[in-house]
Amino acid sequence: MKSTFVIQRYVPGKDAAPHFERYELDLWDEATILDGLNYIKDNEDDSLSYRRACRHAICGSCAMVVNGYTKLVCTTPIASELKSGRSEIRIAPLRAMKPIKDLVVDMSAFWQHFRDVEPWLQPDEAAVPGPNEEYRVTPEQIAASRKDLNCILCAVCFSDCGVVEVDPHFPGPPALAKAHRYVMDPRDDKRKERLQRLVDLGVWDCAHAYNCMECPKHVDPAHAIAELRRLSIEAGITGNIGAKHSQQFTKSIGRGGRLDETRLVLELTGITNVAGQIRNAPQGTRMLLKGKLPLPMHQKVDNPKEVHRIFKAVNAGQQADNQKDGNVQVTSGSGR
Amino acid sequence: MVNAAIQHEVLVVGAGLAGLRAAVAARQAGVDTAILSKVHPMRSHSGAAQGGINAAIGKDDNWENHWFDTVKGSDYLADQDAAEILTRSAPENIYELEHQGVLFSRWQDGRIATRPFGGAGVPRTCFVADITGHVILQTVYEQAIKNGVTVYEEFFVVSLIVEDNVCRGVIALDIISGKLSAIRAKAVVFAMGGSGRVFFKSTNSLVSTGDGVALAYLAGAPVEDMEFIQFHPTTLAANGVLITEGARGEGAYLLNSEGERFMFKYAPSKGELASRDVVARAETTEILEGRGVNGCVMLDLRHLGEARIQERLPQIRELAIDFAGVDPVDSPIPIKPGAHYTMGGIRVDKTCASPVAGFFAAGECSAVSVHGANRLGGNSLLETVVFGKIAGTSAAAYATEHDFSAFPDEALATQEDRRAQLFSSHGKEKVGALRDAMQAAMNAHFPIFRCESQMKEGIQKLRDLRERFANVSLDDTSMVFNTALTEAYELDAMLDQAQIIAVGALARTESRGAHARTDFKDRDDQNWLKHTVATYSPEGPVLTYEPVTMGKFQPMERVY
Amino acid sequence: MKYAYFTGCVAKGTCPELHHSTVALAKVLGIELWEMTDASCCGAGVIHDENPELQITLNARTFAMAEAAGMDIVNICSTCQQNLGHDNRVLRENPALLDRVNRVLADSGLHYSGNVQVKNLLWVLVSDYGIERLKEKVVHPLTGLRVAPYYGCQLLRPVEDTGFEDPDNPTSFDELILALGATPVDYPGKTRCCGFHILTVNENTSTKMAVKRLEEARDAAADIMATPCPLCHTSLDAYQPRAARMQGSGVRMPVLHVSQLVGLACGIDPGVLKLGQLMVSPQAALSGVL
Repeated sequence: MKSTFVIQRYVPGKDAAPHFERYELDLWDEATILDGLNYIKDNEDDSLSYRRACRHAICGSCAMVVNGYTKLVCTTPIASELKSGRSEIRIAPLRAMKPIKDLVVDMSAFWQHFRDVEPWLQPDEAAVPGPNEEYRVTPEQIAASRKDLNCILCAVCFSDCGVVEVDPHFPGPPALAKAHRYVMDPRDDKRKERLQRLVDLGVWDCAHAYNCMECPKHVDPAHAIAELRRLSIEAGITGNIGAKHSQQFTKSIGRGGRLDETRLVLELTGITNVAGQIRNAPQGTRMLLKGKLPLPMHQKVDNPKEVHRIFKAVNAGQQADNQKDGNVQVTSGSGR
Repeated sequence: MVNAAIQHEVLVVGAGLAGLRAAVAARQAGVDTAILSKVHPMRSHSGAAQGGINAAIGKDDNWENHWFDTVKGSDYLADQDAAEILTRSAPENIYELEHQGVLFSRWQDGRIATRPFGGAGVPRTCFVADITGHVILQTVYEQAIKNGVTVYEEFFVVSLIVEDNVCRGVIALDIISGKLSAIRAKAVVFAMGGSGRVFFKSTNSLVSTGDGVALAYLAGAPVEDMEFIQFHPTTLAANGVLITEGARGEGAYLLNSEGERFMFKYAPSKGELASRDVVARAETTEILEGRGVNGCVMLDLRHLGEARIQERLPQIRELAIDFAGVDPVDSPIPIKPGAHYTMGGIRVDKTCASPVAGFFAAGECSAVSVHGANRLGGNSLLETVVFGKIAGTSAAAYATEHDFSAFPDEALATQEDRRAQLFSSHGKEKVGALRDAMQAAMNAHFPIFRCESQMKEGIQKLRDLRERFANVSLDDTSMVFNTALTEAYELDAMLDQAQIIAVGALARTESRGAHARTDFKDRDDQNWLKHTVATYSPEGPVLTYEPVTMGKFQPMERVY
Repeated sequence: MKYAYFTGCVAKGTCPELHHSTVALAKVLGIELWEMTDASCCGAGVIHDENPELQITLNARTFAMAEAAGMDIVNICSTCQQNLGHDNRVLRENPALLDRVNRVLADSGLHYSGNVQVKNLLWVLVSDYGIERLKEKVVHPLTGLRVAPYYGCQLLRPVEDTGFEDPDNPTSFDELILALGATPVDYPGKTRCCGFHILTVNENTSTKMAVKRLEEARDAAADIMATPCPLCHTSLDAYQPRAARMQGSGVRMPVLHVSQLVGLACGIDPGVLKLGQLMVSPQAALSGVL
């Protein structure tokens, strides 16, 4: 099967800047993109440099941007990339990290975010079992972090994340999924501290772009992030703009069944925050002039009482369950 | 005397499980410790281990059973005192891993679950679904971060510096900058992994090139039992990717073209769960005798049901879909044996010390020997943590009792010259082609069933390849991240190891464990109950033999 | 063709032009819309962050009402599609949860059996209505107009909740633009995020994302962008002047709603489509085709 690889090359000392080079290949039908890179390196140009090791998607080395989307090239067949009528395979290094050479990038920021979430078990030292026994952990308790364990720290989601792309402070889905793994570990004793730290690091800065849900290992970081947010509110960490937005939004729906956008923005800015309100005034004025500034409480559903009733019933049901067995939240996704 | 640019009291090379465990142990002993790794620690091949880690933690089990199974599994070539350490300390090591955070799969009552594995009398393989190595590696790496271990990421060790039988340190290439540095250490621990890439279509990652074994050998440390290469019974035909023994542990069948569970012909009692060498030979025999399917036999998981497969074996399900085009829920997976594990390695004693002062080794690159002629599944992960810890502790103790030794002036220059020579060569040989030829030669001449004429031919081919390597040239002569250079270093190391494997295999005129010969079909305890020890000479490996440390298990006929 | 029309909150608030142009377009195409004036906010993922069960119960009420009326739901917002679609799937796959939710709904005399489909207007046009049928309604082909289709995020991912097309190679919007006689433009940002959901939480980051998308469309020589989502639209259009100033960008790119774009091609008057309510005027860009 023939294919054309268009690869971003950059050899420091030789090239002034990254540029693309073309390679024509004719490989076996099931060949992967990694097979293609290896072929080029072995037969055409051994200076082509890229990270790779296991070639079966467990080591996390070979993430690169392929035709605009980050993938693990060891499990991406060339055929699947050509399926949609494309004639070439464009390969570029991971986003959000500086290329060192060709497809190799500087991942120090990525690893720093990983370290920032203190990714090791922090148990209550007094509760550690003796040397000849384990903590008792049921399969149900493990289920809560089972998907997080799949993460191979490949940076596919980090490279595709829209927030990471522009904001170096945002920890990114991998670090947050790793944090989730420890928050949900029943043997860890630092849940509240971790949640506070995650709020400080930016768990509320996820913009729900869901690129991370294309994870090659099905980690589903977006669901982990949603759960971390929920737990942070439950733990009383609500003095931050993200939690306030969530709570005020929900309250707004609880009033009339529909979002009162103007009131929400006013509340989040702070009703008494004169400087903030002044700062927002130009935008508010523009919207008003275009007829896009609804009056507060402008819309509600036909039967707001039904919405009130649902709010009450759901909350009552959850309180009853909490009294019974401590933790019954509906989590999202298939069985997470 | 060169003041080495970098120095640490304990230097661990290799950041897989054994290396990380050693470094944490050394650090916890209060010693200045650093790890060098040619890949980021999380990219280490330990992460590819799937099925589990052995420990006799069950109520109805005890470590002495595990000890016996290990020795029997080794075809009686394991040093029984080393195997005792491995199996006796297994439970406490498992619990330690669990306390550190490994989320082992559980029984309903919350205790660590076990699954059956090959060659085990009783199920004693603890696991995390089928991603056991990956989860343990992450946990131990996290512990290394927590304990403040310094890691030199993407540093490639090109030479082990030994003078007057004292280890001085290493010369390492900083892959990113291209700078070669002398790194001085009081104690060096090699944990550089196995040599599977010497063969074609191995389960091993592309970085499993056994650099440690070659560098130790060249520096004068003896290497042991290299001819014993484990061919894992269940690897995918397309690319050699591993399908865990845990599949058979969960109840999968091995079927030939007649739909027969043929393993019971070869292992009447254990069937699919006989030890790996037995299964690999059985499969090869079935295939050679015409009962294969396109050069494979079939691994059938259908009767396990989707729920169990998804719970216990999700990774291998994906691998089968991605690389074999079958969903094991609906179809059997075609598999065949593939090079997987190096039982042999750098010869060390029970404290992980080699005969070179200050030089230690642990993990797959070492031979203590706990695996002898064949390794049981689940014992490799165990070995990394048990002997990783021992190596780190030993190295720390050594470092505490010794000063830094002088680092030879010319060592760095020698490596600079070696690189310069590679860069300036206009030879017509290419690393990729030579590597392919070496792997093909190893597969053809040192497979599961070996014989003299075949091996002699192989040795000659390897000699030719070694000569051709002198004419290798590189397209890439740049400094930054030069992987053409690192692959050349790796090929150099693999050619040495191939040679050691080859001459050891030819010399051993018996069949034992994974070394099976059609011209010497039986195990010969009279003459061959001994370790092959290879020492460097300019003319090639010099073979001597050392006795096996026996214990209470006398060699018996090995049936499963 | 008859649908339960879920407007979502924003089309009745800060994006009224979306609702008006949708109603006008539906009329011209002969699609009957029953506006769900009693349906509550989809939750937007925001209620889900705090209390997933609350969000799913509110949405179950919406589904039950549509089911009782015997109709599938059409929405005009990617976030509504994402949240309604996701919650619908979760309810269908979890009988115990559906049971629990139905017990709450019972007191309102409602019950959901899992039989409602949720579709975005873009999907309805391309699939249910069909490209060929749509072409017949085009009286004013937008020939020569270079349109950057902004698919955005939540209409594409995660696939288990959206499932309409390949998120790495979507084609529906491009096909739609071609059917209108216009030229779809390819650009790196077409499936990347506009930042709306963190506009109040981290405005700097949010506006950086929006400006990037606008500049990417500009650099690909698009005349206009179009989007099926009013949240994306708010980020890219209503906040465009503010975002551009904050990020020091001179970009100026008109952004239309899908309903407006299709409406123009179907001959609906720009005034009826409320083009005047767009923050960044499309007049110059559209002068070639109108």
